[in-house]
Amino acid sequence: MTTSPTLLPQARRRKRSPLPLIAGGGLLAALLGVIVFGNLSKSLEYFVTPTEYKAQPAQYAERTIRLGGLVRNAKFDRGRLNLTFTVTDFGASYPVSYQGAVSDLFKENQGVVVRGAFNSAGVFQANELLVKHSEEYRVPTNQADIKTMLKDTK
Amino acid sequence: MTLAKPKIKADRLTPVLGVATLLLMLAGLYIGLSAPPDVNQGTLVRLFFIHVPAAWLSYLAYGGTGLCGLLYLVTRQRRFDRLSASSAEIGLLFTVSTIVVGMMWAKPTWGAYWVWEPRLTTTALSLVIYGGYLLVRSLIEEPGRRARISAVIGIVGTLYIPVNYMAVEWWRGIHQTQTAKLLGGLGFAASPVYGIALSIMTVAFTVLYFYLLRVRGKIAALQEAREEREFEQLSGETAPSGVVARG
Repeated sequence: MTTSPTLLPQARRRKRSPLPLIAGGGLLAALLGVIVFGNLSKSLEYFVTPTEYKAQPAQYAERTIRLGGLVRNAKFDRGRLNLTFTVTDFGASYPVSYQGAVSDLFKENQGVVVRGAFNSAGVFQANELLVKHSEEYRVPTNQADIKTMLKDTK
Repeated sequence: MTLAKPKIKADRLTPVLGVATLLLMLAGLYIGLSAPPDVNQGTLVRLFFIHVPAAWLSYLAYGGTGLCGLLYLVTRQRRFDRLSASSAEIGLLFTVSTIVVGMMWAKPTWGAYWVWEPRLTTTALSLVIYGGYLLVRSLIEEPGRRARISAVIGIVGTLYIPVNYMAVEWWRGIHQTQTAKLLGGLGFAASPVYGIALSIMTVAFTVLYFYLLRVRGKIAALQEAREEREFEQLSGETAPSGVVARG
């Protein structure tokens, strides 16, 4: 009862320079900055474009990759949920085959990211399909807009 | 010195902030819900008026944690430490809200609730940073030391804000870029009515932050006063009263 209560308030009054702590924190921040802006930026890229793949196919061979680009020539078999399309970035394009649910926003010229691998026939077998959408939102301004919207929501 | 009763001053500002939040949110919701649906996404676009202001509030709160931490290191007033911790809690709450609303938006548009792309990954990082901040606080008993260490974490953690904000510009991902463009020329890439709803909601969430900060700060002050009281009772008359429980 006599020792610890008297020690505690002393510990509270102890004052030390915060400088080493601030310097250490600054160093950590700088390190984090180097990691984020330097090395990590390459591995943080979420997908490769068809052009990048075309340039170095050996680098991605036999590996599950994400391929990102625009949708062309989409064909969807509703009965078997089988979707085929071409993904392109205008520099290169590859055929993609995907089976499963498809987002409502999927359409021609929409940006997509597919995850999978190329099969022996050169078709990209996707097991995941993500649809990108733009940051632009707009209310329908003419009759045609309203008609397509009504059709889409059905 | 008898029981160190916390002085209860009549606080008029906090209820005013609360009422202002409520009114602004009602106005924002009314405009947001009555705005026509988007041409591509339909009514899903309305999540935009919650998702973006919630993310903004989390940035504001993490910025508040850093700023109050800095103010603590400069002035050594305990109230800045309390505000810093309160702000971190609010930030975490609204990061989680942003993620939950974002997931509801992502599933029908992207096709998945969660993807490990740069914006989402860095957002998850903030849970680690500020969860760690609160964890470190809970591990340190001594108030002065706790305040100093958490102030430094809070200041360094502020780096999260620009990294998360710029993640959509710096790295390829799924998340769309900013609709309200602030850097490299102002611009708003959506219909004006969406801009009005978003602005009102952003103001509402900003006021909400200050409201929550004041409420949480007051609770923290009461908690601290109680701790001090218990401490003084423990240490009896040897404790130098009036040294610690200030600010």
